[in-house]
Amino acid sequence: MDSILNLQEIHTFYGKSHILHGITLAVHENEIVCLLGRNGVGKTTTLKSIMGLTPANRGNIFFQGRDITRIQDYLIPRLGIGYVPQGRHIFPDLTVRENLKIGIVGNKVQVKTYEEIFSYFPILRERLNQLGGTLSGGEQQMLALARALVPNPTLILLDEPTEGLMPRMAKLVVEIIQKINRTGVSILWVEQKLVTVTEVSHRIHLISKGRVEYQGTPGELIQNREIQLRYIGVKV
Amino acid sequence: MGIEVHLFMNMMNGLVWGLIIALIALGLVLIFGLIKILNISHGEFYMLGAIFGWYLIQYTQNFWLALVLSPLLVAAIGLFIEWGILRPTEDKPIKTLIVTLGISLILQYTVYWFYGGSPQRIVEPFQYHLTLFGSGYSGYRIFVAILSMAVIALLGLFLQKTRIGLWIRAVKQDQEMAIAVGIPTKKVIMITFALGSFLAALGGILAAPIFSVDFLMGLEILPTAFMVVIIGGPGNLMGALGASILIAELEGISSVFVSPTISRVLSLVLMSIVLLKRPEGIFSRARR
Amino acid sequence: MEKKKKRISRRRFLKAMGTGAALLSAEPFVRPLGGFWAQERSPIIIGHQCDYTGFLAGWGYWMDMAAKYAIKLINDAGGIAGRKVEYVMEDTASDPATGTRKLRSLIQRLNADFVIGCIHAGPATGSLPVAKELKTVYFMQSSSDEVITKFGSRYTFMGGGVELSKINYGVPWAVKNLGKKFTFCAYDMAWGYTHVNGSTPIIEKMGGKVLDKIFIPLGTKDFYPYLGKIPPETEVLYGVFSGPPALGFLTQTYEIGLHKKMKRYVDVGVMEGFNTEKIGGVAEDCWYMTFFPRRLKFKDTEHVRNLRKALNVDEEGVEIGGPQVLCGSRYWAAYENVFWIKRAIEKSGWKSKKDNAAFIEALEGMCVKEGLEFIQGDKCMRAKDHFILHDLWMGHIENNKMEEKTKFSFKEEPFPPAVDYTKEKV
Repeated sequence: MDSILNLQEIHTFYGKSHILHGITLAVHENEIVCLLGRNGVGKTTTLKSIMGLTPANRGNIFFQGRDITRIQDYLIPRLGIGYVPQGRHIFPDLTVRENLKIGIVGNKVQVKTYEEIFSYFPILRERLNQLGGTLSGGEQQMLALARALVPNPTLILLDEPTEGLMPRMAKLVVEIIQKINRTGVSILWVEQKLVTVTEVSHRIHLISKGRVEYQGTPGELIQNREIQLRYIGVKV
Repeated sequence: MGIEVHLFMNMMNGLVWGLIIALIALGLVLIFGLIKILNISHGEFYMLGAIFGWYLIQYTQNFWLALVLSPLLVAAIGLFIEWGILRPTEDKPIKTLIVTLGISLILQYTVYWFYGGSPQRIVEPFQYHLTLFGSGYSGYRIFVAILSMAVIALLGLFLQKTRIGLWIRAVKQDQEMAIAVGIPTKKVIMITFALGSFLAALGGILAAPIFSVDFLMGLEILPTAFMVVIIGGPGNLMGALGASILIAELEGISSVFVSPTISRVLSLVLMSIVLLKRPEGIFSRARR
Repeated sequence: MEKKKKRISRRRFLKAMGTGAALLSAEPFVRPLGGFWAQERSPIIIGHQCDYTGFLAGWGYWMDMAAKYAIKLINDAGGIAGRKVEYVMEDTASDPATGTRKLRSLIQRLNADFVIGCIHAGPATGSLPVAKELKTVYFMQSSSDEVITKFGSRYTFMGGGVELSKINYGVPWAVKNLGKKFTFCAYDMAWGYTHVNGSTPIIEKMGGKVLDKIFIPLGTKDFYPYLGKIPPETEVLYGVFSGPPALGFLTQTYEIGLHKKMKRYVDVGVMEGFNTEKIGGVAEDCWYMTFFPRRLKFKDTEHVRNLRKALNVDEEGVEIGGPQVLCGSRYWAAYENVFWIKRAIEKSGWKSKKDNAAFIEALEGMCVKEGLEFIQGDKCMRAKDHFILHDLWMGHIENNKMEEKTKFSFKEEPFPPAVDYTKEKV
């Protein structure tokens, strides 16, 4: 299998504090890869380093074989990487329509039509002219996913997409993510709770203090109670 | 002059003056909304608009040409200043205060060097005097009001309907997310700065035939512009427009009844009340 | 490689800065030593507290040059009492606090023996007590007359034109020739009140009437709201403004057609500093009182020509090859102040600040004749209130040009002194 995303020994600093201490991981085509760990171990920073928002100080990031470590931040999403940040970060004073439109930045990308988007997120059809800030949490999550999906990405980075949602809504979001994945979109999914991703992810990386400490399939991880306790501190 | 006529004149006038202030304040608010800096040098773009206008008119004898060219020149200067001077300090508010103050002084005294300390006048492009209730009223002022309204409406359309307008609004709301959806944020900031400079310069050249042109005119306008930003709510464009007209009308109408100095005090009182009771601005919606 | 180069140049830069700073901070120590060795042959230092930047920059520019030229003339002729004259200038930035601080700097750091003051009334107000405190003779340029009668002392002299002279010569003329019903439109500041309070009794005594007094806050750009208050039966609109807002006043009174309904009579401050030919005719038919004509033809003497040549202005008072317009009403004062100092030193035998009492006594009541040293005309330094009594001109804007119509030669006291400084001990 070809790897679509490759992180090699990524070091990232926030000012003077050293957050990522050499993250190495890969996402292969059509894969859902999960990055699991406690609060503040560098999961979000890993995603932001990929997006160029907190650029990596050392190491290399390859996307579809191309080194994207030093390219301008705003060009990264244009390569076909969608980003759904923690807290969703909907533009609150833009309408749903504008939130969707904003992802269309280059003319080269074949974008998804509204109809395609509504096939995943039927609720957005009714909300099209509403301001983003007036949507419910679940609807905002849908919109954040939809916004990332519009420019037809080959990879989507998800940062705790079910956080703060009611169980029914969370389940719906996970289903949609799987549906997206089945159309050939690879996914890198940051999560705190193992239970959320055991069913859906192909591989899981455990991260602690800015390093990847373990990787395996969900099945392997479920077997390994000691690793679970050490790095996520919960049982399944 | 009867009191109703005086009142009417002052209201008319408040509108004209309010719209000129709005051109300046809107630029200030646009820039503040995006990069959260208090641009002390903003008044200088107003001044430069009038100064370049004056020079262009000296050489071309054409007010209309100057009206278009001068704001464009100033926009180019704004572009350069944002890109070359402000950008390295944009994330440090205290530094930007000092840097913009420095830019302000440099622009003032560069102009002083070439232009001198004497005020000059730009003659109105047409001298048409209306008679309103038996008193003269300058047709040029009415032209200024109409043009300003048109420009402000165009600005609104630009922000609502164009892609760059959408980008400006997005960057204002969430700069990091804007990058993450592929918006060239730095270019957007640069364009916005140029746009703000353009508007201030337009205000400057429009105001020049009414007042005068001198190298410190930007310094004089700045407190009023800041007052508008505070009353209207920082970053709130509609608020700035409303506050501009509100302040101008307040001063105009109240000066019919009380002494001019007291009516100036009134707008300061209004600002203080807004600061105490509604620090987010008088026109802010309750949401968020 | 490149990085290395940069670092070296930065270090060199810092070094240069450091050396500069050290020299600057050492300067106050160097000077007194120099004074000690040189004794009486040390130069006489004349300080100039000048509005060099800020909103009065258009005035300060000329005041600085005029003072410098006077000192050059003196030094070329061998100085004062055999001593060279040195000129030091500090900039008030047209700001009261800065200006007052700069006066201290002139006297304490730069050891100025005498100081020519600024035009701005703000710094002048703060400076008058400082001059007394530091026992230094100070020539005020500001025209807010009551400032010097309220805050002045025996050390302070009115160096420039006197506003009350303008009023006492000009207003009676205006009542006689322009109209009897007056409305004032003046800055809400000391200078505005000097005019309004000084003129009102004169107008009323002559059977005229003051219809309204409209005081307008400093910094006003739009006069429309206030112009509407002017009673329509007004015959003379009396304006007291200066700088860019003055041009706004002229423009806007013209716009609404007041110039057709009444006579505009203004202080020359309204006209000062801009070219009347380049303002689209808005000043047409204005009357104004001035201390001195801007245009050469109304006072064309050899000495006026020389000074104007040094200032690099043409016959109309416009800078040759430059943007500035001569502040015709005032530039002569900075020049003449230097010569007041010269005359008083020569008369009193002043050697150092210890002799200030003799200097002041010599200056009080001194009368001088027009000539190289006093180009504006004959004048006297009135002993009691330290005001200069001088000539004035009444001008009229005709075809956009300043035309001086009447000259008032000073004869006796135009108004009584409000204070008597001669009783004060030095």
